[in-house]
Amino acid sequence: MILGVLLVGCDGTDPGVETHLVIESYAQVGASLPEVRLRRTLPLSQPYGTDAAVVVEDAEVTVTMDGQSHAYVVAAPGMYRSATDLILQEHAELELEVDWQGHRARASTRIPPPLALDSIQVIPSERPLSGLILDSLFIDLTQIDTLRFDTLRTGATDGYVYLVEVKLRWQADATELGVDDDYWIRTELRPSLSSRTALDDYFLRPEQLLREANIPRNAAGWRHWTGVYAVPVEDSTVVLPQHRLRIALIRSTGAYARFVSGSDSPKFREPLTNVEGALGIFAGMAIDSLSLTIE
Amino acid sequence: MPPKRYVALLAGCFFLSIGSVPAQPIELDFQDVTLRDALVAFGDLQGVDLVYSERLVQGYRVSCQYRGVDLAGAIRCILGDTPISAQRLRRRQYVLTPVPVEPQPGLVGMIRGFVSDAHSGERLPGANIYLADIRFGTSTNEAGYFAISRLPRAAYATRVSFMGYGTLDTMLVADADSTVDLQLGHEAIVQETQVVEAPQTEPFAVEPGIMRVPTGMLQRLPGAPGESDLLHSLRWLPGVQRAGASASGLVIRGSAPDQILYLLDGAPIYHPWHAFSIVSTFQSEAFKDVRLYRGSFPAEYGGRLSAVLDAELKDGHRDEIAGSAAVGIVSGRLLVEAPLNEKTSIMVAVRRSYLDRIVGTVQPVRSGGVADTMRTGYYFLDVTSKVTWRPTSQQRLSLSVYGGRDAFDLRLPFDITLNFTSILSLRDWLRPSELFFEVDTHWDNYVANARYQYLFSDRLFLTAGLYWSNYIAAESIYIQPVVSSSVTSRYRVNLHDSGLKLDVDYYPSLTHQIRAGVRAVGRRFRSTLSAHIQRTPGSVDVMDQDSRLLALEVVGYVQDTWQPTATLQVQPGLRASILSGGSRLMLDPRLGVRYDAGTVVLRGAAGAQVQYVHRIRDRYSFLYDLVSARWVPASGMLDPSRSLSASLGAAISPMLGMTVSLDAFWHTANGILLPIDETRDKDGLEGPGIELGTLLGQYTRGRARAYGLEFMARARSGAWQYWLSYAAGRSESRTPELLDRSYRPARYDVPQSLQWALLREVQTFTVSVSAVWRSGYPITVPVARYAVQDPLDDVPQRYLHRPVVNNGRLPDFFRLGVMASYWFRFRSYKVTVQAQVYNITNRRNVIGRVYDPSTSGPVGVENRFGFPLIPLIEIKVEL
Repeated sequence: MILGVLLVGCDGTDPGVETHLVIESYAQVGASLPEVRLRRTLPLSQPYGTDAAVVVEDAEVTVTMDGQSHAYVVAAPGMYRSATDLILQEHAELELEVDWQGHRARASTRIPPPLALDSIQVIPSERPLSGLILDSLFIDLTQIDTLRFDTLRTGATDGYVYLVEVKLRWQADATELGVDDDYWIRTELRPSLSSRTALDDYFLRPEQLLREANIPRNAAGWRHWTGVYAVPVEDSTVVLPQHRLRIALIRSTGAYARFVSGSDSPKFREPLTNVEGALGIFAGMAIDSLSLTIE
Repeated sequence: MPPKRYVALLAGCFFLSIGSVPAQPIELDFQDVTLRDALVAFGDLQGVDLVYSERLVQGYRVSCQYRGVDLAGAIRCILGDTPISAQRLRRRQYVLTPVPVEPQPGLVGMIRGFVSDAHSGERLPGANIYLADIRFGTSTNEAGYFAISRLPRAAYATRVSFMGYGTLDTMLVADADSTVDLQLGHEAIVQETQVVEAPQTEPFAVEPGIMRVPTGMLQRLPGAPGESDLLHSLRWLPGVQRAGASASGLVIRGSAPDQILYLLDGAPIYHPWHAFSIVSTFQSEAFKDVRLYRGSFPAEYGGRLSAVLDAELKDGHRDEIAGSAAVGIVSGRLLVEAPLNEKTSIMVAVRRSYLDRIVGTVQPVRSGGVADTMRTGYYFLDVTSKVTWRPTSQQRLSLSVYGGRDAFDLRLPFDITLNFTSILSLRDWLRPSELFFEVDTHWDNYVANARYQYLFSDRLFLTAGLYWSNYIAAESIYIQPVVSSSVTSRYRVNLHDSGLKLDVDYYPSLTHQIRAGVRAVGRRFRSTLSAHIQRTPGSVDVMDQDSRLLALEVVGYVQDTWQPTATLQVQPGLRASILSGGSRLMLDPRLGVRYDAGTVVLRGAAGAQVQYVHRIRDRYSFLYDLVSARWVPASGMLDPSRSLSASLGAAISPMLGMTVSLDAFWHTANGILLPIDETRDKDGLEGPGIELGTLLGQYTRGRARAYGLEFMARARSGAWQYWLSYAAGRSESRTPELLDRSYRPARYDVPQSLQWALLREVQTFTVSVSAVWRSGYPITVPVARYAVQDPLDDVPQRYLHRPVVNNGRLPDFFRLGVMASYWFRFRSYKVTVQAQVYNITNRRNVIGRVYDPSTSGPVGVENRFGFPLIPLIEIKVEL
């Protein structure tokens, strides 16, 4: 056994005392140079809020666009802005450098062409539909071996929902996107009053992340996407409650897509960063969003 | 007996009775009596203990007249011209042995024959034959045949042994034309009073890396969940672990579970597990021999990187009907062996779980005149059968068939109040509903194997086999959570092997035993998916995919078991294989060495292996690969993986009944498939699909290495048996394609593990206590928390930083179990009642851990626990 211990050695866990810089910056086409928000990581044992323990105010931030550097200053706790009044053009290449506590973090991105929602069609169901409201579909098979059925998280209640179908359309010019067409589209439907149900994860489609080249495009150059969200109601006689719906459409790079795809389950994974030497995201994007009143 | 001779015998006895007084003259007068009668008379009346076997004295008649005081002289007179001599053991005790045949210069002979079970007639593969005079050992092939060629013509003191049987000590004569049939019983047998001085270590392990599994003893240890389970028994061996409490199968020396080849009578079986891998498909009682090769294996084996389990089914009793039936908590089983005629026997083993029969599979639901149905059903079933026909003593044809199925059928009306804490009130939960969840899934293994064995000549043994193995997983789902929404999905994957095997054993000389063979395997893979996801009447996604692959693998091998000296045995081998689709020829050299230094046996082995099938699983969608994985053959789009292994070990027997062994191993693998994102798991209906290229996109080529030490001690002393195994080692992997430059702990890395067991058997009672302790499996531990806000979010989202995969470890695992059994006779039946308590300390072993970053205070930790204390009972009846 002594031989064994000598062979396998110590097998400790990294306590993670090192602090990392966290960068958050989104450069939008048609806007000025992006704001850069800097935070730091904290050990697991500490509460994580928005206080001074989290923000970083002593860093040097520089953004270089098309070969010209622009220095940033602290505009608010943890928030850095450039005094330069430049408008970001599509296909512009941006590089970000942050120096903090002797470490340098770098990231780069490209500004995508702008996009605009050309058409929105909202189709609610004619009447409330009988449906499941809670997470009835979530049977955690990995917990079966515990033989503790009360932990299976299968509580099911039924109720009524309005299913609302939303069809989006936007113009996509292949030549404008560039030869690599490596852009991704993120869609989101965010109603103001429905509390999200577990149905969202399975049958509804309030958001989606798709490679733009894979979205069908008709002869006129339109791309379409259809999403579905649910509005729970008390019973089968209730009319569709009036509510606000925010519709958002983002075109961005593959780095942003990887960041988003890794951010949906914080208990199990973290978003993939495109920042060398730090965590977080620096991404160019085109955003169009719209708020509607549905009644 | 003729009257005249009877008188003569009586006269002889009279004289003997006079001569029974010490120092008194002995007078013998036998005239043409059987040797046995003369010896009995002499022994009885003279007070001399004569030890001999019936076989030795059979057939001889003697005449003898003796007058004198020398006992030895009197015995010599009785033995006369027979080829039997007497040796004095102690005062007034003599042992009779055959007169050794003196080696005759220039004349050579051969010892060959079969080794079989004395009770059932089963031929025993892997039995050891040891010629003590020349310190030469060999073992039987899978037909129970052995041959030792070009021996000087003489008689040789021989020990025959096989795990679970008593030894047989006998004299075998190397001659020109006789084939012996050596029968082993459960007690040691001494024939011709030939006590053979043989090594006490694990007997003459001629094959490198082999570990014969003493299933008889291991079955009596607590641990398996109330089942007669061969693969559970393997966990007592050092370096063998379960992959999880309820998933994925076995792990050997830290390698992934798909790197183990399971052979059933030589045919591969892909998923030998039932009940979400809690129970294996291998019923211990149906097997006569189980061999486990770890790391390096002989050239005849291949196709996996880390281990081979070769299990040989029983042929069936040749003389009488025998069988057993048992009922346990989980399942019931039945085993029957019977002769069909003088030349044919059959074995049938059936097992089925019956929880579905107790609870019921269909629950009618009624409310307000509306009827509905809830279905809940899970069962596993396996049927194993083998028919063996022996037209002559040189030929044997066997057909073995295995079929196993797990089926899970569930239909839940959703208009229910689920309350799993009140499991007895199922009917109270349910009301008819138009919303429901329905799933019907099954996964099956089917194997059919025909094998023909022919003793072509004394030196040439031929084995030809044809097999068919099919693995199927099918999942059908219909879910309607909203009246206008539903998902219908049908998914099926299967891998179908058709194989041809030809093996030849050639025994050219005493020092060489050559085995060669060829294999041709055709693999047909197919995976289909038809899914229809309707979110609203106007929003429907349809997925129809069909993925197929054909691959042909051709293998040839040759190996020589060479014994240049009495103490050294070398087994070089070469395995060559080629795969259709442009793969290059793979050459896998193998080498095994064994050196018997008297008090210690040293053994070493090294070899290269190649694996032509990979197990992968989608990590996105619930619509496929939900409860099963898929085996994909290597092809033009998927390269085989390769490994190199080496091991070095020693075995000693410090005292009678005790064996101690220590082995060191090293193993490296290249081209194994590792997930690109270890943290991703199924979380939605949609996924990238089942197209092979898409699924392979979730994996990257990786490297793995493992090294360690394994210690095992076994002892038997009277009614006590002891078992101790300890393993220390590391298993690591890395993914160079992801710029992963350093090795990290592999998923099943267990630095240390210790198993011990104590068993006491007194007449009809058996009690055993056992314990398992091991390091916890690796997990990825976050080292910090941070927050980032997406432009579409109102507040930042908190995340955990996990810079290194598998940088931490779960707490140590420990489990203590006890088992007691008692058997008694009821009429002609042997009834055994066995009770055990699994995890008697009710220790809450942590088998999974999740970190929650969303808490406002310190990061939350949620643990998942293994099985609690479980009492189990089984009743078994044997005919």
